[in-house]
Amino acid sequence: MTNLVPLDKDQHSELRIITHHGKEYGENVHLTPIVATELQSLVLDYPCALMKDEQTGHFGLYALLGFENNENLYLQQDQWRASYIPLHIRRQPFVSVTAQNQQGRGNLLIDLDSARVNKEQGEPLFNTDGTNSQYLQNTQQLLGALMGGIQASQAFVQTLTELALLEPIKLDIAFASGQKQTYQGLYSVSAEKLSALQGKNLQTVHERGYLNACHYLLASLGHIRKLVDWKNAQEPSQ
Amino acid sequence: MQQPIQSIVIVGGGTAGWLSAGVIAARLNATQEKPVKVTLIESPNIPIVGVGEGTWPTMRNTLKKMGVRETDFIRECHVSFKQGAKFARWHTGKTEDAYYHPLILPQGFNHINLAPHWQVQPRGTSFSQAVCPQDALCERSLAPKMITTPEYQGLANYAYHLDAGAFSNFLTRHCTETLGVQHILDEVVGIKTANNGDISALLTESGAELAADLFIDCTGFKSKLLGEHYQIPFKSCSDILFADTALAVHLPYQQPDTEIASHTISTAQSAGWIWDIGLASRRGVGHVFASRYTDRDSAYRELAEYAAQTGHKLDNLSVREIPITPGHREKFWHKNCVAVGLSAGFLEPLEASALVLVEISADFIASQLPANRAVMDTVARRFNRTFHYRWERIIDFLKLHYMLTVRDDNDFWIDNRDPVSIPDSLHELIELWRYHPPWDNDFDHATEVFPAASYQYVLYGMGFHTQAHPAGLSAQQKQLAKQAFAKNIEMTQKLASVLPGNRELINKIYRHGLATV
Repeated sequence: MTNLVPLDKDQHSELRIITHHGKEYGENVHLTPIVATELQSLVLDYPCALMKDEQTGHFGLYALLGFENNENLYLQQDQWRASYIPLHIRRQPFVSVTAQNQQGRGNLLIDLDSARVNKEQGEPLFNTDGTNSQYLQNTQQLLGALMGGIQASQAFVQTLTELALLEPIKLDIAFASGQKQTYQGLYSVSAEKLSALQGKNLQTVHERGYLNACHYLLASLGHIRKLVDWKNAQEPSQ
Repeated sequence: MQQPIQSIVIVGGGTAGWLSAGVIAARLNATQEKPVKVTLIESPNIPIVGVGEGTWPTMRNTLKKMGVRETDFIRECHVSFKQGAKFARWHTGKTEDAYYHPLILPQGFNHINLAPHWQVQPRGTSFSQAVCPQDALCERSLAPKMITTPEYQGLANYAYHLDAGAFSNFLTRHCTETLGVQHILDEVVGIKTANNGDISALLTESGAELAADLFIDCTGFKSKLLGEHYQIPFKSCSDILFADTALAVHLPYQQPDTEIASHTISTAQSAGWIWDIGLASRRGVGHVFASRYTDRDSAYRELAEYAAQTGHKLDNLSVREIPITPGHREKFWHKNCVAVGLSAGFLEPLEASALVLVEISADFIASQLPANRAVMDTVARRFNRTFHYRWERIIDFLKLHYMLTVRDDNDFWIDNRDPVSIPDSLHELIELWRYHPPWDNDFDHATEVFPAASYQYVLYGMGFHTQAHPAGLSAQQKQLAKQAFAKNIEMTQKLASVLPGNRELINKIYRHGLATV
């Protein structure tokens, strides 16, 4: 499914990247990883919560896009019903790996099997003189922001865990179709425990900007209602 | 007499002492404005017995209430998960003879008794297999939970196998660093008594006088306060339970990734049985036998043969001999002294009753701590009544494992069926169960150490037959039972497909830890 190789300006000089949106580009997902540094933007459009990694049990941050596999309620043909699109979606088809190369910079990998990669349409990766295109420079910047964000998220989640601020959220949703479903495995900040923070712990959380991030997480859950409405509205056509 | 109880001194620093200290301190810190002061004095010279390595599921709640992180406990006490016990060769003694006593109640236990329905089924599926998924999970060495399951929660009910020595050290740190228990390393060399016969203070080797309002005797087999000082007689039950010696050994795993059994394995021998407890770090194996029916050399040989099955040479390992006297003190709480742990009594570890008795004793003391000396005698009487009942029920339950055997290869098994060796209370229950399958209201207390379900697992595992009721079973009951049996099959398949191996999960916990939520 994926074929990740290091980006190489000789081998990949002719490649172009389609930057449109749509399910043909793998955007039809009901969850996407997010980073703490983009919560301020995400909170305006998406419900954001924590989930555990199945292999390690570690918490990670996610935006909810739908209620079941292959359901992205934000995606309407080639448009997202949102003013901001998560970094993990926008980075496609690139991945940055933390291993450092000789220049001390992160390696950029490209997924050659991605439907975005072709030689006919979209943004070129390299200029005719072999230098990086504006698009590639932007992408490198985006991946840099993402890598920084991943580290910040890990520190954020670790603090939430250490201060025991997380609690499971159970979603019982009755859809207009009559279908009732319980969603488990989602976690958020406990408003009660957050407001009970005192002294040094409160100061730490405030100084690192985590207090805001916690409030964003809590506020973002209001968007679940919107997703239910969207799902109800599209139900008859399916 | 109206002076409030303000200080407790616990004597002895084994698992019983530290577990009591932790349970009591955590409870009183949480409930009292001015918590009672808890001090534990332990001799720097006495090694702990440390053979209690199997727990009950109750230990999860006990540790949680003490504020212990399950991740820390698992990592530091070489813990593995226990989902029950497998009894091999207890019934007929043949190679294929085995049954499980799992920890999950039979399917739908709060609304239907499946035993009579199982008895009329075509043979082939054992009782525990028909009503509970844990046979299948144990046979596959699966864990009771996943890495994403929060601490102390499980997809299947579970207890622990733990390293008793490491557990004592772990509890010492938690009690002293987190719960404010004062720790004194000193020898108790004398006891000072008050006019009313109470212990007023302990005199120590270093010349200190340790006064307290209540003393908890956790001094092990020695029973220094209750036995030696107060001379409370020991009530032996060796006429019921014959085992009097244990040979214990630690077996290393052959490979670091050798699978860890998810249950205690108890394999009957010619005049006793061998326990096999898999920890994360090693196995603890021991032969409990009755020297009236076999000699030490034969018992050693049987243990050596057992160890040889996994390629271990017993002669190269250090084998500890532990004399055991089954029974308990006639009273547990006398004056201002209460015994918890081996100082109160001992029974062979057939159903891991040692630690659970410590937990419920400490819980009783913590939750019903006398407000003052005047009411202490009342609390003591109630404590003695409750724990007499508990010890008798445990003795009955252990005896049940022996009395239903059909083995006749050694007088040990034949004599175990002799009616004179069977307590009247157990006789009566067996008479009842010939015609009625065990149910919760067969017992006097609302909370029993062993619920009716445990009796069902052992009875039907041992081939016992309850006669079908002459009035038959209604169509509605049959339908409910059918659904419950089907649900059990479904649940078994589902759990077996998602649960990781015991070793795999423990490795992951070492690496990643479990979350508290």
